[in-house]
Amino acid sequence: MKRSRVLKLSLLGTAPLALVACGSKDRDLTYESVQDCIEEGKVTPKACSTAFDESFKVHYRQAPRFYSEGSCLTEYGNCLRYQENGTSFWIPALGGFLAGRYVHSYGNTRRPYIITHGDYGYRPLYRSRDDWDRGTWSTWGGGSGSGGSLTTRTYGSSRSSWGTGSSSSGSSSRISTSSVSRGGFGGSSSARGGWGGS
Amino acid sequence: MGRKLRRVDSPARHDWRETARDCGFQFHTIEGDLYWDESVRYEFSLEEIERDLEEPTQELHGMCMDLVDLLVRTPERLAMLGIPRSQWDFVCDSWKRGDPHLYGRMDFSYDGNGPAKLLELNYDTPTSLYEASFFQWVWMEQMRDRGDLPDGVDQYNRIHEDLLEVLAHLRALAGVARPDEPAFVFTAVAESDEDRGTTQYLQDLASQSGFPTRFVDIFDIGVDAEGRLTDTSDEVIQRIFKLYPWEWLFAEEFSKHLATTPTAWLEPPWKAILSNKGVLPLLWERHPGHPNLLEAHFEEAPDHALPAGWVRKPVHSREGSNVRIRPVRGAEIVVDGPYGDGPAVRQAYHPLPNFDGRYALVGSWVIGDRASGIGMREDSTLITRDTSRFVPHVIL
Repeated sequence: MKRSRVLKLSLLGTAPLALVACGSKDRDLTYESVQDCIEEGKVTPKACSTAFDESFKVHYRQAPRFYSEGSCLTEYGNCLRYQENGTSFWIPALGGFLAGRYVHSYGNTRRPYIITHGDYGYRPLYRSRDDWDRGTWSTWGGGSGSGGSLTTRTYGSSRSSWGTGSSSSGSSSRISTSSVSRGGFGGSSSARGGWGGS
Repeated sequence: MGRKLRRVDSPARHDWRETARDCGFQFHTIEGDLYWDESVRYEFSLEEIERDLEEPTQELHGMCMDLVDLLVRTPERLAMLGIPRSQWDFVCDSWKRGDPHLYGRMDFSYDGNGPAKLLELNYDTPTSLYEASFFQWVWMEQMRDRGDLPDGVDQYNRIHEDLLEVLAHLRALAGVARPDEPAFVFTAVAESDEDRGTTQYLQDLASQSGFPTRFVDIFDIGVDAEGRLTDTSDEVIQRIFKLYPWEWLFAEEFSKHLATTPTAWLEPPWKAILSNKGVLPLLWERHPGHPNLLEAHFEEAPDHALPAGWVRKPVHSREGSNVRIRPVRGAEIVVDGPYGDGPAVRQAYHPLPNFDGRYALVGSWVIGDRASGIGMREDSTLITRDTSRFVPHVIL
């Protein structure tokens, strides 16, 4: 499958939106437990336990982090406290894991298979608040459990302006100040009679 | 394998306008003209997508990154790209310290026969993101669920997931969110529905990724006595996404504060290099004859007549403005616009394919460093402009 599996918007539009990509016929192989995975029998028991282990391993590293249980619970149905390097924060509980995906191959034949490397590895799954009501899943960021293809240098380092080790935005606290001037940006858009996008 | 790519009539969903409203898609009609057009669709084979678009996009992206890496070592060449000398350090340092980036779009001419040809890059302020990433996806899901598309249908579109993945990396780089964390500011020209909509979409994804966010109209950005940019709450802007071109920021009054403000930018300053049509001759110079590139050169003498079979593009022009096409046969095509000044490039003319009287352009998205999906635009003329219609696609 070459498309996103779940789309979710929380701010845009008139209502929170959670759309699930796959119909029941070709759903991804998602499970709440290794036992469920083995019982369904779509993949081998060994594949089930590997998928769970790998998902669990990346879960703590990749789960979205929140500074309070409340802010975590506005997005996710179930959150837990977690500590790393002396800092504590809240992350959504691991709701399940992805063990495989139906790949739509050329000529419209289908077969499920498990990708153990590359773009689509195993991944942890979380239930958003909406998901609890709908019985659906959200994935979140994360990528493949085995590194994927996203590690090029342009992707950002801890020295970058986004890093906590940078001199620019390293403070990560709010800084209140007094503005002495406004309106120094934006003039080109009116001069050009257009907008910023292209 | 023969050509599969085709343009077919497609029944519009009876309730698509309501769906658009529910999904926050405000700009489906622009100045009274339809912009989102689902009365037709483009159908690709998986092979056409993977071999002809996804792989070349990935490869060209790597070539672009290499090019940036080369140019920041020879900053005098940035002058050819119209980047002011006063900003060279700002641009080059941003690359050297590894500032992350979010996205870019390559525009291809592709007709299903032979290699896709890169017409240009939009690596700083690409639009048509939300409609490609989200609304096109919703269209396909609904069409399939209602039986108007077969069960096996697919779409080349991982854009939404890949955006979340990049934001997850940014969240990880920024560390654990704290109660007193400064807002991640999103800015654009608020008056533009299209730019506002695109910005709002990304703001939504950033919120889902655990960033506190705030929208600030670009005109409302301020500066304090220490040369730090401020938002409308008089807080220093420490992280900002801007849907506003670097070359415009560089030309404006507050550009003098770019060196002093402790702000992390999306897109990062080094994107100024790739937002620029000067990249086209530089890519050709390094990879002459590459199957996905068109021959291109910097214009040496602007007053020279444009030879037949060439296109002239100012290095800083947007949405097709000020482009001149001199076809091999027939009259010259000129689009007026406000970008007549400044350096220009000449590119070998490669017309867009014509499907049923419509000229089609493939916008191929790179999210983070990954080729992620496409959006199709079509126009009744050979030049794709901001009013060109967005048309959905499927893989069958």
